Amino acid sequence: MGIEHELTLLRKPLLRFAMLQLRNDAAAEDAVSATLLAILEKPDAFSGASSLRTYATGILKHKVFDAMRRHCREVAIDTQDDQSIDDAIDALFLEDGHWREPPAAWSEPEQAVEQRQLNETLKHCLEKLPTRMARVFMMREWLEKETDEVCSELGITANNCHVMLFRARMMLRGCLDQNWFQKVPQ
Amino acid sequence: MSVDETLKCSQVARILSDGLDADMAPSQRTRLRMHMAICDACRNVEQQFSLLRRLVRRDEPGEPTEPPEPPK
Repeated sequence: MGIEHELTLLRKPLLRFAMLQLRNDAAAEDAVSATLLAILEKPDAFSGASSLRTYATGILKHKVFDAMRRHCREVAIDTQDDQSIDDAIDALFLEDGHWREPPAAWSEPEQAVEQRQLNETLKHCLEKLPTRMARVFMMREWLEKETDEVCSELGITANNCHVMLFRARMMLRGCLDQNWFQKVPQ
Repeated sequence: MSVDETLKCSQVARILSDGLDADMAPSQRTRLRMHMAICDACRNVEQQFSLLRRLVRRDEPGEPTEPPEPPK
């Protein structure tokens, strides 16, 4: 299978990844196109030390970050979503600060990490996050940017950034718990 | 807040998240560890936040699919 054919197969999953971060069809399309083009124009740069999928993902992260710098600083603040998420997190706790339903341990987490299907569940969970929160979370965790860089790029305060990261982690934890781990037989 | 003041689970969840993004003051870390020593639920959340990070950071695009069924 030639590299062109492999890249054709990778295009759709890469696009979905770009959309998780950018939440904008045109910007995601541009980032993926730039990624594929970078590989096609310099095929020798791909040494084969990693899979083409891994190599393309690494390039896509840079292209996504570039796209964010160019186009995507302005994102509507999801006030309604923020409030409902705050309420949902508050509802996890009793008035005295204890868990209403104490989170149980996840079954066989090490084995779970190796399952690609779990990543699909994670993507569905990420797609449910409000746009701005998802962007902060993905910049921090997928693009692995430090929080001061996230704040600077998105024009938000450090406190706002930490609040959004906390909300995102709580929502994703709950989503994975409900849609994966609670369904695994103990 | 002094080291003697105990943390509530609702505070611990936020502190655990913040701890993934910034260094924690020694006094804060001490209070956190004291709470974690007696709270299974918060220890579970700490492990789950950590697993979430590993999942996202090692993630690569796969074939798009409908929401999968967990293993039977």
